[in-house]
Amino acid sequence: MNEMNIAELLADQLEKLLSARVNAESLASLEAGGADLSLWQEIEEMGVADVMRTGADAAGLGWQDCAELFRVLGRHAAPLPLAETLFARRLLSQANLDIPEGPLAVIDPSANADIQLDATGCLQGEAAMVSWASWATQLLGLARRGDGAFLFSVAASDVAARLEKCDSLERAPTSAVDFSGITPLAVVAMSDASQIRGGLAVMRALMISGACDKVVELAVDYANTRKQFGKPIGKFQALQHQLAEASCRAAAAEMAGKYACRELDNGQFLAGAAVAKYTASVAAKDVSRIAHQVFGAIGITDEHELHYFTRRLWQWRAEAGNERYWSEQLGNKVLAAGSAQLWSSLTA
Amino acid sequence: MSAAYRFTPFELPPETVALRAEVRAFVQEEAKQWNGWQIGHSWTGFDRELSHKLGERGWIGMTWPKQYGGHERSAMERYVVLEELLAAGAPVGAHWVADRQSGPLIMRLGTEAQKAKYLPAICRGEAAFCIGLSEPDAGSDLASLRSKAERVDGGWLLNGRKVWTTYAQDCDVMIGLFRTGFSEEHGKHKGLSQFLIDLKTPGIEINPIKDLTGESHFNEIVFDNVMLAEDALMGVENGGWAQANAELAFERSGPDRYLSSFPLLPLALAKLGEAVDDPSIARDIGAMVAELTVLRQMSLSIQNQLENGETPLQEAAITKLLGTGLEQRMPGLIADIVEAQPLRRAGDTLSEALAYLIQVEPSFSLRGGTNEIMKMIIARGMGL
Repeated sequence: MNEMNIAELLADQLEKLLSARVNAESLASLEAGGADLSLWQEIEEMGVADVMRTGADAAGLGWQDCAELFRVLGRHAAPLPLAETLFARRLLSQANLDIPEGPLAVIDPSANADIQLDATGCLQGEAAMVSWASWATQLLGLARRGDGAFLFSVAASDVAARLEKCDSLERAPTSAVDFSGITPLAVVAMSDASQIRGGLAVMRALMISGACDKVVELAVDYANTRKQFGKPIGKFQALQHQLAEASCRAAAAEMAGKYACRELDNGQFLAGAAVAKYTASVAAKDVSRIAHQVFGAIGITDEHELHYFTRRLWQWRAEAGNERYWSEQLGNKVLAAGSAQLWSSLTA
Repeated sequence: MSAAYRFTPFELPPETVALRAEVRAFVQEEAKQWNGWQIGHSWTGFDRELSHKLGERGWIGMTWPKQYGGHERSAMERYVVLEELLAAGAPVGAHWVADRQSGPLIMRLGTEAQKAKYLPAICRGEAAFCIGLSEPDAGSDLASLRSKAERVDGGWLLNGRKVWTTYAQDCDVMIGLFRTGFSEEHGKHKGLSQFLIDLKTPGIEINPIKDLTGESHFNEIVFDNVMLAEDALMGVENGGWAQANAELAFERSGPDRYLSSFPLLPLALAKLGEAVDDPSIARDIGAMVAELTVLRQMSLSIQNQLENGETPLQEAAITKLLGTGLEQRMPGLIADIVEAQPLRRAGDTLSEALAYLIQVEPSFSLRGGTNEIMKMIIARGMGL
């Protein structure tokens, strides 16, 4: 069986599992502080959390292989840190570090997380928002010393008393973490510091694309059933045009995310990520706006499931760099490369 | 999973690299004689001499069989040639329509005699085609067209009027859609047929329509008892609607649906230089480059589906809507960024190109099907 088949099979299995187990009730329970570790156990038993690990006797699937997995996670607003764990286990295995049991968290270096490695080998600084920190057995992040960049991992037990719960829009377990004075479990110099930022951006872009698909699907179903003026509101051209627009945004986000996976697999960590996260963040904004317009008042109630997805779209849009951040990064790169390089780099 | 479209990433094969370099070198040399106003025309610039040169190099009808003058190269090699020409704003209008859709239509449905008559001439860059669809009372609602072709002794008799036909005044052949039958039970989409019409046939009167730039690129064409031979029928009698629709995935997904304003961007970068301290300029440029990147991926993905014999109409509508949206926004945005005055004879390539594109960009979301029609197709595909 080739790698693509394994990946497709896993995405399909994950889709089935999450379809059966994730719904408005389970999401509400997570957001109220519940932790359904039985679902996490099932995920571990599937073996899916390990597929991006590299090295001997590891599946070593790449980003392109796993694009659909991340999209499925977004599509179901998966109430567990599988995306983060997939990426963290990849980072650890690439750095030849041991992989601990359990879920992992990755600190987004672009968002208020300025962490230094001091001369004594301790970390200094804090991260304002770490998703799933309270679930993780280890937290991974990027620390700087002078010009050097280092991947570090910290045992959850070492920072347990330093987690301060924060209420993110998605209401998943998220914390501010103070790392000052903590000695990491491991510190490994990174040849390319952009690997974490780029990887997180693409991961979120793919999850946004999955969630956009879901939101568009919900809105189409609603437009086809809700009647006003004697006919389904989806028969009104004004709504059809808005939903067509939403579909275009979702399609662009999917294409951009998949393109960026190829770039990551080729060792290009930023250019593809910029395209993906810019496009996905624009989609997150437009698709959620249009869906809420279609749903009317029922869409903004707690009772309706729409908000589990739109709140995540707003959250993920801001995480790992929003569209302004990434368009500026990309624009500066294009400006620095100069006019003559533009077309050759677009067609490279 | 249940989306009405499919965009599978597709990467150009490595054998296209050398070809790209060859085309790029050729275009760079040719570009020396183009001013900005001409560059702004891109694939609506009509230059038979350039088409002839491209034909000599084997860059027209690239994928067609050698027996019809083609070169049996891959669709992806053709894509590379197209995007290199468009990126530079080359005036490829004299063969664009023939290479993009008329030739492929003839290849698919034409008789042996039709193939032998037209395809080699197209490949040489010597047969310019136009598409006769719209009429004074049939635009977006194309199926309500009334120009008719009657079966008579020895052939077909055409009467009626076509309008907005691009470069009809300079073209050799039109593929026109005419009413050949009508029955209430079948509806207005049945009973339409396509014809290959030599534009020098007696009874055809071509009246150029001056557009808002002061130029005349489109025309009104009057058919007054125009007699065509039997073999002018293209494909199946009364099957013209389906035939014309099958062309649309080709027409709507190519690089010409997002690169029409592209030549402005390298010109703007050259003017800005590397030291730009306004982050909003970087953001605007980054956003345009991100959109171009995604559109190119979408367009390539569709080419791959077309190559595999699929008809990705949904995907083409999505790509056209997004692509023409970008190429429509670019002229205004770039003019703002570089603070350039759009001037026709400025001696400044960027100003000249802006002068043309700012005036014609409203047409980008009209030609090839309006935004509203694209949204209608997409909404239908979504199950609305």
